[in-house]
Formats: sequence, structure tokens, C-alpha cells
Amino acid sequence: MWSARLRLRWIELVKSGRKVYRPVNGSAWRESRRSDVLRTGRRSEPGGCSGRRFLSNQLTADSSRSTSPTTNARVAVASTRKSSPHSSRKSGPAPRHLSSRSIGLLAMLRWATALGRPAANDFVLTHLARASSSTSSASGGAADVAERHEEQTRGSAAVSESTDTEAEPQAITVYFVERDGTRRPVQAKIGTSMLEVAHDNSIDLEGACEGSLACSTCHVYVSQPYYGQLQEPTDDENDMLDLAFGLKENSRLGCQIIARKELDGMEITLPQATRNMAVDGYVPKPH
Amino acid sequence: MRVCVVGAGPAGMYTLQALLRHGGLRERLRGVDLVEALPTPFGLVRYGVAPDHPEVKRVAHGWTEMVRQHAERVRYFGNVRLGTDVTLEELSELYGVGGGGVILCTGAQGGDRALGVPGETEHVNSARELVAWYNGHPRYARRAHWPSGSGDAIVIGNGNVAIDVARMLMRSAAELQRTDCSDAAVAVWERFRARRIHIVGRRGAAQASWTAKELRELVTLRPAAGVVLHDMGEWDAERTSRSQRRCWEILRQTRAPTAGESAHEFGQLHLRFQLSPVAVERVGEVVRVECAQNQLVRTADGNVRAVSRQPAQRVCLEAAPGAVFRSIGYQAQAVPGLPFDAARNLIPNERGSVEGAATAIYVAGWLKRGPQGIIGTNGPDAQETVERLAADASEKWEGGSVEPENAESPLACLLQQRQVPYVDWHGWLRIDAEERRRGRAQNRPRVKLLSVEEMLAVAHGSVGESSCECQQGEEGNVG
Repeated sequence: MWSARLRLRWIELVKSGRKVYRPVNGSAWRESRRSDVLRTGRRSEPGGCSGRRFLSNQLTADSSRSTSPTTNARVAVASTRKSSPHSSRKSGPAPRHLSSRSIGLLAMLRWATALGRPAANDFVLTHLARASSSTSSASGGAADVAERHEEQTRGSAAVSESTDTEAEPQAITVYFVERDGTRRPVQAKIGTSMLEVAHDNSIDLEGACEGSLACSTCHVYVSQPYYGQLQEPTDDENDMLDLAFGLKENSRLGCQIIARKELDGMEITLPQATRNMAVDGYVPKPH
Repeated sequence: MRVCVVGAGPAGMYTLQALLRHGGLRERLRGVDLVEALPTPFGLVRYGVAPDHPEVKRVAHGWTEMVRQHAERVRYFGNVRLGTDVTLEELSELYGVGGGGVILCTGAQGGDRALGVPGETEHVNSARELVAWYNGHPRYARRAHWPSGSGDAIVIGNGNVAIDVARMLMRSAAELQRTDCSDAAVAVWERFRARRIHIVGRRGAAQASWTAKELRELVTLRPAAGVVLHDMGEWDAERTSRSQRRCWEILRQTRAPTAGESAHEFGQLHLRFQLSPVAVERVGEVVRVECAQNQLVRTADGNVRAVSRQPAQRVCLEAAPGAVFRSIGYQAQAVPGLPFDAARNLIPNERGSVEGAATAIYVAGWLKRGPQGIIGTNGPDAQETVERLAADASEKWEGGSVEPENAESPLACLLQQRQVPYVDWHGWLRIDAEERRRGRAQNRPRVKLLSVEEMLAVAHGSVGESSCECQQGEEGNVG
């Protein structure tokens, strides 16, 4: 999106404490905060412009409904990325002067206040006091400690950065009722399908065609009222449901049910293998 | 105990899965030996699924992973034919100890059902053989009588295989060149283009046994060419499944071509219902199929049957020579020594256990329930058979009839004594790697090996890259 030189300049400007704007969502603009830049404005991060990746994380978190494996992978990467203070400072000018650190901390204080995070406030103030009295050191320092703390308090990275929201839930609770009747609660990450969730939690739900709508082995029953909240099945899904054993009113294919926050508490029941082996005359079986 | 599964198609692989996952058998099951007549496993998933449906073949990934995870308990013996290289009696003896048994999953090996009309042998090809041929089956690699030039094609039958053949006939050679279709088929497709494709069915559209996904794909493949429906029949509200209802809707939404369009487009579909072929003959440059028109009557038990309309009415259809295919069902073959139900095309069984067999012999898949159902149907089917085997086995354990067993697979010793060049799982992985390597060179998913000799050469390491690190312990002799 931006040339490398422009990006570096932007990082410097923000760190200096000036108000700088960056493009968001095409034509809209947003104020770049120092905390953003310190956390994500690193040129050497894989995948190109980190600002853009941060934005894409935002978009997927907002929409919270993604079937693209690439986007899912990106969200997963962002949410599990644990930046250590050293890894996150691969490039970009290090704050050499005490005053820069203080400015950074003050910016963070402003941010923490805006979000109503009293614990962060205390933390920042403590370190501000320490930073002002200590001599400057090499890499590490108050800004990085604050950054680490910020990572921990804010949890995974795919959280909306806008100033007006609470953190969105990253996973919902789904109950799987297995074939022997056991009811297991599992965590389902927003944007993943119930088939993926089952496999991640060692639940015996087969996905022969690996989610490509070419079989019906991931057939499940969805409890009400969640069944009614799912989007209508496409023709392709209905075609596969035609061939599922023990089809009921609340049947769906597990690979097509994508976790989102409204489905928190949904119960998914695995069908029993029904005895459908009678060689009937009048209903021709497909082959 | 050890179990022998004969046949490594969908039924065999689902049976293997059920055996490996069965909780009650976990401690006792020392090993499962998988016997397969061809060097390559996966049966109709490899040789029955059309080349333009690669996503259906993904089920094999799960099976491959399963064999990899349970490598210490699973032994694969490819290129071993039941009856020729080893008999059922020998297998029963080897695997009958300690509650084990033999599970037959060989499918329907009796060819396909015939129309039984004059001229059929010379002029009507089997859709099943066409499918095996374009999928590169080693036993069907040398077929010769395929169409050339351009003309109509006729497919007799209203199932998914008929749709597969019709859809493949609508594909161009360029499309097939990107798939794992055999090169011989691509060459034939370059020489032949079907103008109109007639799909002939004995009964009405409401009684057809195809499924919605395949039908939808077929009628939307060449929308410009159009779909013409003849004598669809009436909607049968009583005896139709959800799938048939949706198929009816799909047909009602098709669009017939206008007069101008029908002259130019290739791949125009004509779905002709309520027709039964009565004679086939060659007339000059075309093959003429004479069909009798039917009417539908409901029998006492609620079925819908087709009876010839009286007075007789004839419809004549013409097609290019070599472009008439029948696809009216598979036939099973009796296994020597076991009872056989020719009417229902299966081996009589009680939840998978063969009735009247002297020793523990079980069946799963098409041999158990007749030649119908899709790949996934075999999952619950195999489950039921394995449950029955486990129940029988636990009775034997309680009765105390557990005998000491060998550490090695008994079949391996027998085959080595007889010098049968069998292919083990690593040999199959080498074949698989070689096919995919050849495919990469041509930008295709794979290029299949077309003869058993070539497969054996690759499997035993004398040809191609052996990129698989594996133990050479139990390989048979080089063929």
C-alpha cells in the first residue's frame, strides 16, 4: 500500500507524538496512535505492510464470519502471535532518548484512560516514574515493557481497535452431544466451522470430502433456537443433505455452520448410524 | 485375533476404519490384513468417480492418513486375487482363530445388467466399462470401439452413472486434459463431439434414481444448448424421497432451446422418459435404437412399474456408431462356497454375517446390500458388520477358545511361498508418488499408470524415484 520510505516516515512521525492519520477501508482515515505503531508498525513483519494486516484482522473480526481458509489462518496467526519485546523491535528507529520513551508512555496513558483501563493507567504511571529517573538503556525499556503488558491485557490481537468498543468475544461455547450421549462443551473460535471445531477437539465427526460439499458425512443436528438463526442452506448443501442418514428438520452439514457470537451455547448432536440397509423395492437408491 | 478384509474399495476402507476404532476390539485385534485384487487400493473411488469430480476423491486422504496412523497393525496386500492367488478356505483357516474372520468387500464383479435386446452385443457399449476405461483401469485399457466424428449419443439409464457418462460426453478434450483422465480417452474426445445427448429412462422423471447434485450439474453445464424434456410423466406425491422431489424441481426449471439455438449448439440434452429399447441395429452411418413407449401403472405394493403402451408406439433414436451406452445397474458375482441371491444381487447375510457359512465369514458393501448406495453409505454398513463380528468374537473369548497366534502376518508367508508378487502399502505410496510426479510434469493432478506390469515395476522400486523412506522387510518378489 505504501512505499517503504513513506512507511518509515509515518512511524517516526507517530512516535514523535504528532497527530498522524492513516488510510482505513479505502477512503476513510483514522488517527494513528503511538501504541498502534509500537505494536504493529514494524517493517520486517512477514506478509508485507503490517498496517494492512492489522486492518485485515480488524475487518475479519468485525465481520466475524469468514469461510476463507486464508483469512482464518490470518486471524489465527494474529491471535496467537505472542510478540516478545525483542522480536517486535526488529527494525525501525529505537527510542534513544529518555524523552521519547516518556512521550510514548504518555500517549499510552492517554489511550488507557480513553478505554477506561485503570490497571493499565497504574502500570504506565509507575513506569513513567521509573523511566524518568533511570538512565536510558539499549533495547528494552519502559516502552517495551508497556508493550508486553499491553499484549497481555488485551489478549489476542484480533480485537477491534476503535475507541468505542469493548473487546469482541473470540470464541463461543458449543456443546457437542456425541454418539454415546456424552455432552461436551468446547470452545469454537469465531469464523471456524463446526467440522473444524470437532476435529480440533477429537470429536468423532467425519469429513470425508474435507468440507467441499461433496459428501454428507459431517451431518449433524442443530438445537433450537440456533437452527433458526443459521443462514438457509444453499442448493449445494441441500443436495448433500438429501443423501444423509436420519435426516431431520434440524439437520445441517457441520462444515457449513460457521461460529459467530450469536450461536454461543449452540448444541450440536451427532446422528446415530441408522439401520438403513434394507434393500427396498420402491424407493430407488442412488449410485 | 487377526481379521482379513478382502477388497480395498470404499467398503473395505470403511470396514478397516470400523475395526481400528472399535473399542471392544482394541486390545485383542493384533492386525488387519487388507487384500486387494489390483495393485492400487480405493476401488471405485479411483476407477469409478469421474475425472471432473476430484473433490469426491478426497475421501482417500482420510483413509491414507488412517493407514499411516495404524501402520503397525495394518498390512496391505495388493495384486492378490481371491480364488487365484489364495482361496477363501485358506483365508478362513488363517484368520478364523481367536475370534477373527474374513470380511468380503469385493463389490459387484459380475459386470453390468444387460437390456437383453437384439443387436445389443454389437452396438451397445457398457457405461461401466467406459467409466473404467477413461479412468485408466488396467483391465480396460485396450478398448477400441469408441465413437468418432460428430453425432448424437444415447445413454440408456436414469442413474448417477448415466449422468456421469452424459456429462463426460459434454466435456471437451481441453477440459479433460486438465484432469487425471487417461490420455487414450482425451484422444478419443478430440475426435468426437456429441451434438445431442439422449438419456433414455424406462419410467417417469419422478422414478429416476439419480441425485440432485449430479442432475443439477448436468442440466446447467451447457445452458445455451438447452434441455428438452420428453414425457416426464406425473408427479408422484406418495412414494418420492426428498431427493427425488428436488430433482423434479430441477427439471422443471430447465429451459428448452429455441429453434435457432438448437441447430448450432453441441451438448444439447434430451431427457426421454417412459421409453424401453427393443432393438438396436446399424443403419448406414448411424446406429438406430428402436424404443417402445411405456405407460406407468401403480402396483399393489405401491411401486410404479412401466408397461408397454398398447397399441405399441415406437420411437427411433439415432446415434453415432460407438456412442450408445447402457447404464441400468451392476451385477454381483457369486463367491464359490457361499450362498448367493441372484435376484437381489447379494450374498444372504444377517447383519453382515454370512448365513450358512461354516466359518466366520462376513460381508460389507455392495456384496452385502446389493449394488446401490454412494461412497458414504458404506460407513454405517461397515459399522454394522464390525459390530456383528465383535459380538461373535467376544462370545468365543468367553468360551475360552483363544489359540496362540503368530507374530507375523500369516498371509505374507503364504504369498511368499507361492511367489505372488504382491504390493505392500509402501509400494502403493511409490505408485502414488510416481503418478503425481508425472501429473506435475503435465500440470494435472496425476497421470495414472495403465498396466499392472508398470505398477509392479514402480512398486518394487525398479522404475521411477523411490522417494519414500520405508522398510523393505516384507515385500514380495519382483514381478
